[in-house]
Amino acid sequence: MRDDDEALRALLEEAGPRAPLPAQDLEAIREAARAEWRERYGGARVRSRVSGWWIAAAAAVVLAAAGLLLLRRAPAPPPATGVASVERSRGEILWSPGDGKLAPLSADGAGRTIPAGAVLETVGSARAPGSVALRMAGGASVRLDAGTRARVASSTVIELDRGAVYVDSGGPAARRESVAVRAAAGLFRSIGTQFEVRAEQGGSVTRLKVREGRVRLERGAESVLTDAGQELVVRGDGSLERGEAAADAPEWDWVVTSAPMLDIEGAKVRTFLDWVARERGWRLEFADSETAALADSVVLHGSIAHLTPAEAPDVVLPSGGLGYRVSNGKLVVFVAGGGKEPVRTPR
Amino acid sequence: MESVRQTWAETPGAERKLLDRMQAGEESAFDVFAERYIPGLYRFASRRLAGDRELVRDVVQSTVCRVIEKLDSYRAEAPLFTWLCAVCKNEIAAHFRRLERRPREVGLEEEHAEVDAASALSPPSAGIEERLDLLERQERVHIALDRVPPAYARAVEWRYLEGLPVTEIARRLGTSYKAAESLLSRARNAFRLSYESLPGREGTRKAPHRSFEKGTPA
Repeated sequence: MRDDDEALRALLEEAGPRAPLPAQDLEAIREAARAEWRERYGGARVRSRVSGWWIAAAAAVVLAAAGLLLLRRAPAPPPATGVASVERSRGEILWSPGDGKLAPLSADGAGRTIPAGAVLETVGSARAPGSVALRMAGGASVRLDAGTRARVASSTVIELDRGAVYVDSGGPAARRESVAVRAAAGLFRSIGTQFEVRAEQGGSVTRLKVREGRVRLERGAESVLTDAGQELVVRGDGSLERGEAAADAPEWDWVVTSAPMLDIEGAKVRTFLDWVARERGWRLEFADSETAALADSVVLHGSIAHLTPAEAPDVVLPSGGLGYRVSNGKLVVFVAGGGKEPVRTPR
Repeated sequence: MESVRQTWAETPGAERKLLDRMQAGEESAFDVFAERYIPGLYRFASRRLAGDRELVRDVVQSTVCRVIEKLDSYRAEAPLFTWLCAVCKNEIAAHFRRLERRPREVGLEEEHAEVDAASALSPPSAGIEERLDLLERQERVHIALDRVPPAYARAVEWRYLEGLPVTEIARRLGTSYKAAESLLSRARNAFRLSYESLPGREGTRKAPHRSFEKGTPA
């Protein structure tokens, strides 16, 4: 081992430090190559399907005001020069647009454009844990837990050094570009749509939890699938362990706390409920058709920007004459005072 | 060790399958291809184009697009990166043919061919040979680092280039000494496999590649 170490040291010392590669150039090459690949091998078909969907959505907008409101709330794409933008940040966040020295992200960092190759570090402390939520150029939401260091390699790949990354591609209907997470264990790629990758013990253990959809771990020629509700632990020796990961388990709390908040001004209650259910890992149910109709018709006004998805239902639903309960992973909504359910606002 | 080998030592057969998946329209395969090969290819071209950034970007972009055009042509008889480098060299040559002038710097292989031709007329120059070997080792080391996960590359550079003790690496990683040692071990293996999979100066009369295999003197 010592001989091995000495030979490696001599080899690296002789070679000297690597000159950094320009991240912007690499990203430009990658995207040009992606366009070429799509043109030739099927990406073009995906693109045309997306276009078709938008045309259909546009038609629906003409016919339904609710559709218009939904589109208004679609996340704005970041400026063309970046691959992501900061949607929400809490606590102390350090960042660098390249491989340079990290500097604090200002408190009003929301909206900042993140270029390819940027490094983000969330400073972890029990008292004031830092976290940051990014909106990728393709529309996916990416969140970094406290104590995380990650590099935004491109609009579709996050490289995780330590800590945890959560990816939400918005479900199949959202048609957002999927985002993969590269960790020491390999490349974790979603097949729709919510998952967390956590690097533990200095990267020697990688833990994947899938909340919705399916995730494929690619390591060399090997491919390992993990379904929603499952956990996959990849140990340093390459061995795999499987476990369970409930969609509404307390371990997801940091994801809920760091979630970018919905702009509810002008939104239907239904939109709000869909969003809350998704962020909390619940399935949405209405106590009856009357409640569902109410949710589809009531329009909200105001802002919940300073709340979290855990706090928002207690504030929003009573104003719409609704109550809710949570049972077995289901968010059950009912008309408050309708005699069918007690009015309560748990958690 | 075996698991690391599975992860990083891609056989040409596995690389052919990756290209097959790309041809089947699988976007994840494209992403793996782009992450695994574009940075190393960029460094390969940059060395041969004297770091002319705009030119390097154009050449690498045209190389990758050309490769995508003819994914069927890869026969899996050599590592995929070797094939990419061959296409890249053709693109560089084509660029200079278009300009009707010679490149400011030529690739190692081409340079070596000139050395060999010269050596037929005069005694071989040990200085030139050594210089070529050194340039080749430098390039292989840097490209090998580009091709392993960034966390591994950083760990290897911290330990063996900057000479940081494992305790400091553990501190930087926010982990235990034992975990840092474990990561370093995996990083070292990944780097070695990456390094050894890269093409050398084949066909040379002597190719004293510095090795770091256990028990092999540098």
